[in-house]
Amino acid sequence: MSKLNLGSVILGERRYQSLVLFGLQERTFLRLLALFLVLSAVLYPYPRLAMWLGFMLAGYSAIANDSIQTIGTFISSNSEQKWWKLWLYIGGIFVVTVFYSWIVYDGDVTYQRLSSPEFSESPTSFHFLQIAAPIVLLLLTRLKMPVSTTFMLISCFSASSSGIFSVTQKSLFGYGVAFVVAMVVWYALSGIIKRITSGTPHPAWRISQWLISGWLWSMWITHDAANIAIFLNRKLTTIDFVIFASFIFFGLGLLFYLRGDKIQKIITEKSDTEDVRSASIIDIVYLFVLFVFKEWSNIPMSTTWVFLGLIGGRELAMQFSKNSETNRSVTQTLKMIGRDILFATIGLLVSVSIAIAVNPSIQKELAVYFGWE
Amino acid sequence: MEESSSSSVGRFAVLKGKIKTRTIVLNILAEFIASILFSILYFIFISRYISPNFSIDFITLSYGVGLAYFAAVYIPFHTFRIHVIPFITIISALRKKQLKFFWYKIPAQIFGGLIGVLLFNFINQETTQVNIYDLHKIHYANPWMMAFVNFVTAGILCYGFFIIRVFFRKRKVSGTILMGLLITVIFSLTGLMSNVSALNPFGLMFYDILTEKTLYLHPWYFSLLIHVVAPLFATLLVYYRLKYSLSENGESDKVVPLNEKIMKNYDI
Repeated sequence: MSKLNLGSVILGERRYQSLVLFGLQERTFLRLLALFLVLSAVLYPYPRLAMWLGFMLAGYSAIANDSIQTIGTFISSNSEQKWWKLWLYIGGIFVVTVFYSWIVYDGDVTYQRLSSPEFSESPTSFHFLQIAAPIVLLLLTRLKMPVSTTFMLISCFSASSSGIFSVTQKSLFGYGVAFVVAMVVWYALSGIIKRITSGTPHPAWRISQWLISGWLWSMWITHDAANIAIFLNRKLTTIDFVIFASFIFFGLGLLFYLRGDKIQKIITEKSDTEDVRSASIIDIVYLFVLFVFKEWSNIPMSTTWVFLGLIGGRELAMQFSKNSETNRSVTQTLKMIGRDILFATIGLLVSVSIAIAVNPSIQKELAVYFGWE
Repeated sequence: MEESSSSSVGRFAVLKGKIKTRTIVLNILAEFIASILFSILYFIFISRYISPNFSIDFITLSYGVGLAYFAAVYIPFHTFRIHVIPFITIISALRKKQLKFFWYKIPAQIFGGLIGVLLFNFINQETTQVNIYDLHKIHYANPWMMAFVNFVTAGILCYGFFIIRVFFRKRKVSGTILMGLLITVIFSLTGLMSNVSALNPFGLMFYDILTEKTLYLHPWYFSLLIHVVAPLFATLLVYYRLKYSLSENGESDKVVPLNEKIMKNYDI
């Protein structure tokens, strides 16, 4: 008689076994997450400590998750380079970029991304779930889910549902724009791209890729430093800034030492991302889209959704183009795009749930909207 | 040829000894860390319930205590062989007939409890500033009644442990979650009563000693009866009752097949 198991009955035998295997493989990581949860439960009532704990967790989780969009292609196409060279370059750009914002915007490291009324107040107290949100993000990242860090971290702090709504709207629009732009670029220019990417790359490509990646990275920081700094005071003192910059700097070191977190697989499974020229083209199109949205408004947006739109549009265009090879069928490509959207949507639902659980004013707005009050 | 085989046997024995020592050291360390975690979380959650600055209801507090137990067992070591509560250690040692458990688990629990209380007292002084015993709303004047309540609490704890870890064979995460739920239920039933120490005996003992709160309310022999003799007696009673019941049905408590007979016997 086979052993009856509640887990396998609910999830299905195969999924249950995968879950058990995940638990076994990642047992140290999961115990570490449990420890962070305990620390969050202990420290959340004390704002000064909770602020820094939240920042540290958000700092690593946001960069590890979002690294696929920015430094993911950089890591995969520079796999033969020493990790510390890559770290010093990317870490240096981070320090310079946030330092510029800190000086120009009077202690604000987010390029005024948190200046809209819903986010402009420094947090004076924390809800347990606000500190726990980056831990959930760490878990989802480990499950290779490309979750939007903006939704996950920023929406917990939104003073009203309109804040979440505007972030969602801008992010969905970003997905659509990036998808269309990528389709156009990789379909219409497929012949030129093929010619550029054939043969051995000229050494100048390496230099240009480092420059483009550096520029993209600094653009990402101007968008997403807000996700990390939302836990901190809106104006950082000198000591605060030193702690902020050095923690992220050394966190980046860890990420480069590990050659990207597990989510790096999202990048490496896509076609031609390890070629320095392909990686540069992806980066420059992404950079262009991010730049447009940065200039458009100060509302935070999910760069993950933009990136997924870009990479999805590119895969589909390469599928239909005669000049490109993807080694997979249309159905497989559509499945891959669908899976990325599904994971990002799961992340969105989790983050909205956390935001609703944290914020009584959003709960009230929802109750009024559904006619319960 | 013989020499090389005997030397390899010798090397194997040395290696086995080393692994055994390493496992014991890791177990002691894990038990110590788990006891600190449990004690500190147990008192922090209670202090938040008492403090007017937090709005926590009693059932949330009970779940908090259950979660504290889960976290204490889950975080430090991956083998789930951490007991935290000495009565669980005693019943495990008796079941496995390994009395060495006492020598390395109980001291780790005592020192863990002490460190946990010291840390909590520091946090409490800086933040909530409450007396943990303000939690207790039900007081018994009769020390025999207190001893009886502690006896029943320890009995339910040990019986539940035996059912979960031995009969259900839930020795990993799921078993630890069930143990956490058991602790939640026991705490929700006994948390408001004074002098119920079976869930965190060393933690409460050190809280008593370091804050000089209740230990001196009774003569020493009553304290001994309430906090040591009664729960110990319950532990032994549960163990021998279950052992007798198993042997009567021709079963052993060591290797328990998950068959219908056992299921039927224990109404699972």
